[in-house]
Amino acid sequence: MRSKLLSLTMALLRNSDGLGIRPTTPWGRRILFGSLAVGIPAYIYATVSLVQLMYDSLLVLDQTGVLISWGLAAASLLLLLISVVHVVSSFYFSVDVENLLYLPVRPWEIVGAKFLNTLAYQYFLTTLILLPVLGVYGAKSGFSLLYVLYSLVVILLIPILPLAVGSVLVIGIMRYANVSRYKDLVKTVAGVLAIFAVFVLSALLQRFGDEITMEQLEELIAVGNNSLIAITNRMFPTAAWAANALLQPDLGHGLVNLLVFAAISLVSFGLLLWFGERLYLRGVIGLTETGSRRLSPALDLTSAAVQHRPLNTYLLTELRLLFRTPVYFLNCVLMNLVWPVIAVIAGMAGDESINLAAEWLRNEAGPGMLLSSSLALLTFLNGTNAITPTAISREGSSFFIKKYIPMDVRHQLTAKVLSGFLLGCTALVGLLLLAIGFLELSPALAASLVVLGWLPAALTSYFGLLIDLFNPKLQWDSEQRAVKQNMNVLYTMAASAMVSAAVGYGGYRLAWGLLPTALAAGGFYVGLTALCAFLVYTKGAAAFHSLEG
Amino acid sequence: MLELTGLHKTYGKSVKAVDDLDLTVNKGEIFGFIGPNGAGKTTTIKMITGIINPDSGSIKVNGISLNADPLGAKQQIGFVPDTPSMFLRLKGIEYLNFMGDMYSVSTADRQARIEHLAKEFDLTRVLADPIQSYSHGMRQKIIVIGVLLHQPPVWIMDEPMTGLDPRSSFTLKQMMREHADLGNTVFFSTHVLEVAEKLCTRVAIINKGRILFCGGMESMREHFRTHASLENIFLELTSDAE
Ligand SMILES: Nc1ncnc2c1ncn2[C@@H]1O[C@H](COP(=O)(O)OP(=O)(O)O)[C@@H](O)[C@H]1O
Ligand SMILES: [Mg+2]
Repeated sequence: MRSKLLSLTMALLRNSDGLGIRPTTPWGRRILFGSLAVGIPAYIYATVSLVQLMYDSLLVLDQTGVLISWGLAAASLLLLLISVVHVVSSFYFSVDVENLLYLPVRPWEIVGAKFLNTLAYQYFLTTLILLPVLGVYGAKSGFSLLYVLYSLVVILLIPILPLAVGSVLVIGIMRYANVSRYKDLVKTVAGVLAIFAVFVLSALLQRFGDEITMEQLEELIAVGNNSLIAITNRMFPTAAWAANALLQPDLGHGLVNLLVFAAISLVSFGLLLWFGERLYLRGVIGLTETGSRRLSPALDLTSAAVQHRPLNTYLLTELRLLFRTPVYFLNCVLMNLVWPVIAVIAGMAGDESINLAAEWLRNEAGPGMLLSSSLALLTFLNGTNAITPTAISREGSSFFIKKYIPMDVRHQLTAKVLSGFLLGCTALVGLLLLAIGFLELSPALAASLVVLGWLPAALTSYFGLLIDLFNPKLQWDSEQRAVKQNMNVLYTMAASAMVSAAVGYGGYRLAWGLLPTALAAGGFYVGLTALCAFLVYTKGAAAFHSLEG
Repeated sequence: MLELTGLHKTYGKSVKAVDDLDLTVNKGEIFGFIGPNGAGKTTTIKMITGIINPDSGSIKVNGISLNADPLGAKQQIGFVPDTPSMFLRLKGIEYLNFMGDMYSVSTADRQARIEHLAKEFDLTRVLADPIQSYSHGMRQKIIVIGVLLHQPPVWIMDEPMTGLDPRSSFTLKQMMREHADLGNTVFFSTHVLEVAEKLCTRVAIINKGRILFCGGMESMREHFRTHASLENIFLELTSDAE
């Protein structure tokens, strides 16, 4: 029995493409090595200095333990959130699920194997988050052998419970979502619901913290001796045992805490298997078929079959696939639609911090700086738009179609850019709503935002497509692999963050008036966008031509 | 009309998939491209349709060079690939409109042809359904309809009979006949000799990237009889009628 679980896990692991960073083209290799060479030292430098700063400030209050407690709790919360998305894709939308269903294995064995696979991926993330925290704390407080040992055990254990909770949540929701004819739609909604549920869950967890008054807080701080842990531990209750073990790495109290934490993690895994055995199959069976076919009403061809311009049809088809494929919708579309909603909710809630921000903006920052920082914000938000960085990758094994149709490659690329651009502009709409509706910005500023605000979306869309043209990920067997674990999304995000930082910092240092800022920023964005567009239509089109899928 | 001269394609460094291939297919012909699995049929077809680029050699479609005027050449072609799992998230009618727009088919022509072809293949009822809900054979058929919308002067199919039931297979063969009789070129590949019999005007036998024979069905049988060394190939092509 156990060997079945293990061999299934190994088979799935072998069949996966690791972190998805294996480059497929010489260009991909260059981009990857370049980013790693810059990215890893930059990441280590940034995180270590940030954690050191936090440690030093906490040291003054005699609250350094908060670092560990908060780090573990925050990591657990983040892992919980990521788990839900991972589980939805890997337990339900992955093509290999179909091949597993007719194997002579129990549902719990499939769930277990899938769980362990997802876990393996999460260890990478866990290490990335926790290593700086545990490392700096260890170094500052003097390493002991037990501390290092306990750290290793904690890193191994910490993703288990969030992933188990996330899995149970998703398995439960999917059991009831897998009902109707509109499976894709329901699945998408279920995915959104699961993410939402996690938000609610984490909000509930933190509510415990709210009951503490300012006075109590001051008292706690005054006590020193890591007393604040009482609060941070509540962020994710089970992480407290792990934190206690690391703060007292001895064979008494510390070991007991570590053992309790291990027991809880393992029990949660066991509970998941029990749960999966009962509910998984009913959620997954029939998921890949589109439900029973209804008798469609006879199609009226006079309205249903009409000629349109190729570019429009191509764009419409791109958008249809983005909205209809659950994994694409969750990963590429949803993020874009979230921004305006957040902006409106934040504005309507009349949040104190927004009012303060508005006040500060009106008084302190000149309109030029407001414009540059708005553009910087838009660039950053648009950088998270995963549509064009996966536009070629998403074609997968169907890429060949785009090579035999008689449509100019450059027009095809334009349609792909437009698909990202149109959805990217929702971020602009969100910001404008917030800016005009709630921050009461001057008409001149609002007007220059309207004129210039779409440029970041154009820039990031062209840039994302450029990257994907040179480093597409076409060999995949399930849609999630095309968009998740696709490094091109990260590259685009990183590049946009850099442009965003440059614009924000430049605007702050120069502190020009509105018109000079608008002219300079406009020139900057138009120039960069034109460069990317030029590269897309020349080098990118050539790369498209030589791609053989 | 299809003119292939000196085509070469090597995958990686060593796999010679197509090796110095010359072939001319005339207007009005149904041409069978026959060879065992791995012979290089799909590779050849992918080069003709512009999906992959030949290492050397030239391709002309109705006199238009694929290299010099790729869009013009592609416009001449209707291509049915060997896998019917495409456009699964589109509805049948959406896929047909996509193809119609790509090949600039006017609204009037489009409506008439969809109506006719869908009836012929018995798909009228399901045009509003997602292709994902179609069976293998239905997917194959909707793709054929999409390809025929622009009445391609050169109709290319990669293993088109695989997965079709006898009735649909019969309908498809009939369509190929009609299409060729209108003066168009029909070119299809198969790994089953039987499929080509009766239907084809001429055939070519390909193995390991090289053409072993090109000519009419009768002379092909004669050729196999007189060349004992080809017996193995012949057995491979006739053993598993699919
Ligand atoms: N993308 C590819 N990469 C490497 N080798 C390939 C690729 N596609 C086909 N081949 C090889 O080229 C040869 C011809 O394949 P193919 O044209 O698909 O044959 P057929 O369609 O006649 O069955 C085979 O040996 C096959 O293994
Ligand atoms: Mg083939």
